[in-house]
Formats: sequence, C-alpha cells, structure tokens
Amino acid sequence: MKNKFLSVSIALTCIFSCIQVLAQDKVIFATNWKAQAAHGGFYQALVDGTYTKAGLNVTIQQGGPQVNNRPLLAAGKIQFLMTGNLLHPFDNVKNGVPTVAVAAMFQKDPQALIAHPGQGYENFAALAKATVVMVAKDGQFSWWQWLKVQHGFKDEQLKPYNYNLSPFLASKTSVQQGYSVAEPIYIENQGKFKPVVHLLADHGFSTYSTLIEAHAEMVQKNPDLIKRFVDASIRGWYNYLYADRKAANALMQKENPELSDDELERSVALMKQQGVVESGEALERGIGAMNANRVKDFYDKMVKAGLYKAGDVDLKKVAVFDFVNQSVGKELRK
Amino acid sequence: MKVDREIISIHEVSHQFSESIIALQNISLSIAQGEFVAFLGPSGCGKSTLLRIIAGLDQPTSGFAKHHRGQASTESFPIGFVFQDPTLMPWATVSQNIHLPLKLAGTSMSDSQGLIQQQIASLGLQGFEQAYPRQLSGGMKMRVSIARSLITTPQVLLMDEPFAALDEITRMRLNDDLLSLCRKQSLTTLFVTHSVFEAVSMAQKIVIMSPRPGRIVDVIDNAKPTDDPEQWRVSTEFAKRCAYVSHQLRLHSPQATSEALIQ
Amino acid sequence: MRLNLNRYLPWFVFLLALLSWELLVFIYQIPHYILPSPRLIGVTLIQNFESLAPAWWFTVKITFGALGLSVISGLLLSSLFVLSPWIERSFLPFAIILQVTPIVAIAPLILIYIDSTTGALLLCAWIVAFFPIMSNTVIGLRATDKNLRDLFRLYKATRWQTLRLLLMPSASPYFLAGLKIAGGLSLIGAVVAEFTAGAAGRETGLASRILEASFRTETPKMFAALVLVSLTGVAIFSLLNQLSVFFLEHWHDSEI
Repeated sequence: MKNKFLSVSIALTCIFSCIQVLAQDKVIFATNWKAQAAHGGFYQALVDGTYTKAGLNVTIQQGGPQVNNRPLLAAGKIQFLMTGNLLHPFDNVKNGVPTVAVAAMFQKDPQALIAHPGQGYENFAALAKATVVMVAKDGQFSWWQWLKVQHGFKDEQLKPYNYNLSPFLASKTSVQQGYSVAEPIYIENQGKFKPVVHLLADHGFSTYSTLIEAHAEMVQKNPDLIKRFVDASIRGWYNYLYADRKAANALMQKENPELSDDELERSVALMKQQGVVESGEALERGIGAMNANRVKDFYDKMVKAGLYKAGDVDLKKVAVFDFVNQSVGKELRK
Repeated sequence: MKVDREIISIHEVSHQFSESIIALQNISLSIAQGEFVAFLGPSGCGKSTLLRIIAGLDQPTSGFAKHHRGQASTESFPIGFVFQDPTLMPWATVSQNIHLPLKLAGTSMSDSQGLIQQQIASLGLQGFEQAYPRQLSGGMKMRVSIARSLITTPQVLLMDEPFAALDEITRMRLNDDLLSLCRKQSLTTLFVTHSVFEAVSMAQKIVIMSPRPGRIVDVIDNAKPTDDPEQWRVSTEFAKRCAYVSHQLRLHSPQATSEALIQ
Repeated sequence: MRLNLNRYLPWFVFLLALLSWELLVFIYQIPHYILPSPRLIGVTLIQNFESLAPAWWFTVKITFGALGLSVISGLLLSSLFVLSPWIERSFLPFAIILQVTPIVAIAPLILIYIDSTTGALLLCAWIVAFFPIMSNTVIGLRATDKNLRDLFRLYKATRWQTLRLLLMPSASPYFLAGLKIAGGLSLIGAVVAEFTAGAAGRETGLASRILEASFRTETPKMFAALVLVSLTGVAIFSLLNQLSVFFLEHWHDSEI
C-alpha cells in the first residue's frame, strides 16, 4: 500500500514538473554591461527560483563595452532589454522604433565620472577641461552628448573605454566613466587610492536608470508576461538587497570572473547608502516605481540642453506605468 | 679576311658542377680575331657552359679563358651575348631594348639615337622602333636581341643556339644576315649550335665536342670555295662537308646519333 | 546589340536586385528598423549627407594614407629582403606575426599606446594592408628572368641599376596584384580598427557613424553609411584596376 502510494506520488510529481517546464515562457533579458552588483537583482531572481515560480525560463545575456544589445529588442531576438538611462528610449521613440520602458529599477542613475585625487578634479567643472575622458560606446551615444551641450565637454577629449582600468590608472590627468557603486571600488583595490567621484545625477542628469524595455507589441499582446517578469525582477531586487545573495554573487562571478566577493559586497553597501535603488517613490510604491511627470521633467531638461527639439518625442510612447507602482515585493524588505 | 691575331685563348678549362657532374674537361683552344667558330655537339656536352665561361658569366673550376683586348674605342665592350631565348625586356620597346647596354654604361637615349638607328637598319627592324616584344614574331625578337648585342660594337659575339627555336625559313635568312654582318664588322663570332647544316653553312672553323664530360674531339677547317652562302649551300662540296662533319660527330658520340640534326 | 548587352548586363542585374529588395520590404511589410528599403536608404543618405560626408572623407583619408604607407614600406622592405638574405631571414618572422594576428585583437591595444586616434587607425589599417604588397613584390622580384639577370651582369650593371631597370619592372605585375588586394584590405582595416578601437568625436570615420546608428537603432542611417563604405571599396578596386591596366596592358599577359 505504501509503495503504491509512493510510486504514484513520484509519477505525479514528475508529470507536474514536466508540465511546469513545458509551460514556462522562454525569456531572454539582455543587459548593458558586464555582470556587476548593479545587475544583482536580476541574477538573484534567476538563482533563487523567483523567475521559475513565475513560469519564466530566463536567460540573462551580458552586455559589455564592445557589445550592443540594443537592436535585438526591436528585432524580436530578445524579450527584455536593460537600459541605463531614458535617452535611449527617447531616441527609439523619436526614430519610430517600437520599444517601451516598463519599469525603472534604479531611482538614481549611478553613472559617474571618476578622476584622480589631488589633480583639481574635486571641482566638477574642472572635468570639462581634462585632456582625456574615457567613455564606452553606450555612453558615447547617450549621456556624453548631454555632457557636451550642458557642461561644455568636447569630443576632442573623448577616448574609448574598454573596461580596462590601466589607461586611467597610468595617467593621473585622465578621467573615466563608471558606476558610482562599482568602479571606485575596483580602482581603490587596484590603484590603492580613493578616486574622486562625480555623479551625473548630482549635476542635472535626473533620469531613471536600469530600466527594463520591452517591445510595444508585447505590451499589447502579452502584458501578462511582462507583469510576471517585472514582478519577479522586483522581488529579485528585494531579495538581493536584503536576503541571502551568495548564490547570485557566485553566478555573476561566473559570468564576469573579474568580480571579487569583497567588491560585490561593497557595491551593495554603496547602492543602499546612495539610495540608488530605493529612494523617492520607490520607498512608497516599491522598487521599479516610475511616474510620467518625472519622465516629462527629464525630457524637458534634455530639450533645454539642446539634445532634442520640443516635439521630437511622443512621451506617451516612451513608458507605460501599469506594471509598476503596486508595492510588489515590499514585504521582502527588512 | 685576315685571321692572324689571337683574341681569345682558352687554356685547360675544366668545369665541375658537383662531384658527379663534370661539364667540361680540359678544353684548350685558340681563337683568332675575325674568326667565325661553330661549336657543335650533342645536348649536355657543355657548349653553353663553355660559352658562359668565355663570357665571364661563370668561373671555371680550373683553367682560364683570356681575352686580348684589341684596338677598340674606350666605349665599346669586348663581348656581345645572344641567348637562345631572345631575352628581351617585355616592358620596353624595341628601341629601349637595344639601348639597354648603352644605358647601363651611362649613355642617354638621345645620345644613343644614331647608334640605335644604325642597328635597326642593319638588322632590318625599320618601322618597329616603338613596338613591344609581344607584338613581334620569334625571328624579329631574335633580330632585336642581336641588335642589342652589337650596339656596343663588340669585338667578340657569343651566340648560344640563337636560332634553335625558329622555323626553317627564318633560320636560313637570319643565318645569312648574321654572316654578312659579322663579315662587315670583322666580328669574332663563337656560335653554339646543334645543327650540322648551320655550322657548315656559316663557320670557318667547326669545333666538335664530345658528350659529358665535354672535351674537344675535333677541330674541322671549314674552308669554303665561295663567299656567297646560297651558292655554298647548293654546291656538292657542301653536302660532302656536311656528311663528313656528321660522321665525325657520330664517331665521337656513339649514342648521340639522333642528336645531330641534319637538315 | 550583343555588345551593348555585355556592357550593361551587370548594371541591369544590379538594378533588378535592388528592385527585388524594395518589393520584398513592401510585400512583407518589413519594419524600417529591421530591414530598410533601398528607397528609404537612399532618402536617408541624401538627408544625412551633410553629417556623413566628413566621416566618409575621414575614412577615405585613412584608407589611402594607410595604402600609401603600405606601398612605400612594402616596396622598401621587399627590395631590402631581396638584396640581403640576412635582413630577410631576420625580419620575415615579424612580418608574418603582424600578418596573422587578428586586427580586432590588436586594435584596442594600439589605441592605448598611441595617443593620436588618427595615428592609431592608420597603424591598424597599415598592418592589414602592408603584407600582401610586400610578399607579392618579393615573389615578383625573385621571378626575374634568369637570362635577363645574366645580361645585366654581363654589362656590369650596378646593384641599383639592376634593381631599378630590371627587378622593379619585372616585379610590377606582382606588385600591382598585391596592390589590388591591399586596397580593399586597407579599407577593411580602417573600418574594423575604428569599430574595435572605437573612435569618437571629431576624428571619426564611417565606422563610428555605423556604430552610432546601431546604438540608436537608426537602421536606415546604418545602411546609408554601409552603402558609402561599399561605394568606397568599389571605387578603390576600380581605381587600382585601371592603374594595373595602364601599366601592364602593353606588355603583360594579365592585362592584355
């Protein structure tokens, strides 16, 4: 009697699991950089089963300094795309490319310019006169354009950043890009000095960051999939920040062997400290919160800076807010 | 033709390419000024090697070939060489090709015009001055090659089977033209050939060489009753001479009977 | 009638292909951000010509600059190699290593060590273009007719005379063949180097424009820049072809 029961249970469990696997939606999520703590929430949702529980079979595809994952979304080769700032969605809408932002994981853009101490770069304005500023391609075609018009930077200063710290470490007068929660830590470890960090957000770059973009068609045809992915990602972020993130870190280290445990942990601490993920509306309405006013406000700033003309972008097409602002996952906050 | 003064002495020349290949063995020969000497022998008997040694292109492993320079002007070069292949520069015109030896000596084209025109006239190349080698027939190309070799008014002309690749008619015409040219300029000519017919037609002296290792096995005095080449060729004496030379050739190279072409 | 057909056939086929492309996009309603139609590309090209033209000029400058450097260095080195077997044996390994190491790997490094972006790009394009010229010319120099060499020796030509009057003309068909190859490679080198090393700002060529359009999902613009790259390649090819015909048509079998 017991044996029979056991075998039936096992059989049913197997069948159930098979059905679940078959029922899972295949999702590819492409990021905009190599794996780092600033991507932690997504990797967390992957390793702790949050995506699986939401019926999603997720693959996270790394970006990188030379990699451009952007065209893949419009072409339908990936389902979701990570974007570092709102300028990319603006450009897409302006060019008639049907993608739309569905969530904003970061309330503050950690994009920063980093310099050597004692070179006069403690003053932000001095950066505009540096001989060399190292910026990777993604930044070159987004926030660098803003720096040029708003803060007087010039293309002559520009040199490509290839995720290699050596050129910066070797030249005291050089400046390079970075995330305020990442590169300064690596630089301190390798160069043994504390660099000067200037957050773009502190100087007028008030964009959301680490946005999730989806194809406009999916918003029409399969909003449920988007909801599940966004919710699971939000939960992933809460778990990454407050629960056991060892497995997520391990996976990121596998993807990007240059990361060390210490660097990852310090990065998380900085994210909390700087309010990158949780500040403003995210404290009330949960991680991923977005509102139309802030999007418009940022757009107006960019128009004033001269990056766009007033009617260039139909703001209604830039983002949808139905998938966030519902305090999903807040109970995981500790 | 006076044939007194020695112009080239070849003294015990031997040449070895390697342990097993001895091209020439102990060649000694004296060549007088103005002589037309034919070197006759089977393939591989070292005739070309000997010619190259006389020209100074190769050094013999032992012995020497010495030139006694005559009363030529300081500009002239003692030797002209005509290869079996016309060896023309395909990227240059006929005039430019003929001009080459003078150019290498430092004389400009404009200064050489007279001499070049002279050669073109004597070799029958009028009208072809600006032609390129690929536009010429085999016979014409050979004429250019000869013109080039004569532009420096050499005392000695070395020819290595120059007409071997040409057809019968062209060959005969070139034979005659060459002969009259050599006579006119009192050129000492060393003419390597496969052809008994050619040798007997043109030469005053025929040197017969054995197969490898090449030795001189006979020197035949090819006295002609007449200077007119056409008349000489149709005379009975000519046929007898040819037979005799062929005989000598066969005598000293038993396996090379088919090598000597009797045309 | 037959003569006309021969001449215009390639153009006709090309136009047909463009037409098919246009029809394909229309029938299947392919969005402009995936595959733009030729008409759209043309329009984009004209609209953006003002901003694409300086980039095009920059790429052309780098390409021909690198090609020029390759010709000079290729001729120089090949002459040296032929004149001195010692030099050849010593430096040939370096030349080969340069040749086989992929430019995509070297380009970022070069950009680190060389300050000037233009200089770095020239260097990358040179590395790619120089070897075919050098190796082809060496073969050509060695392929000189032995009898002609003897002739030059006979007339006591100096080394310099032999090089100038015999070896160089002899090698010219081979050199020109190498040049035709190097022309295309020079363009590729210039574009790939810029892609990999990633130039930006003022000193930029078509590669940067292509990248920029790619990051901003401005696909028609990307295609427009690509069209310019292709046109440049075709122009270089036909230019070098004409050069080859000019120098060789009266004497070398390859161009008769």
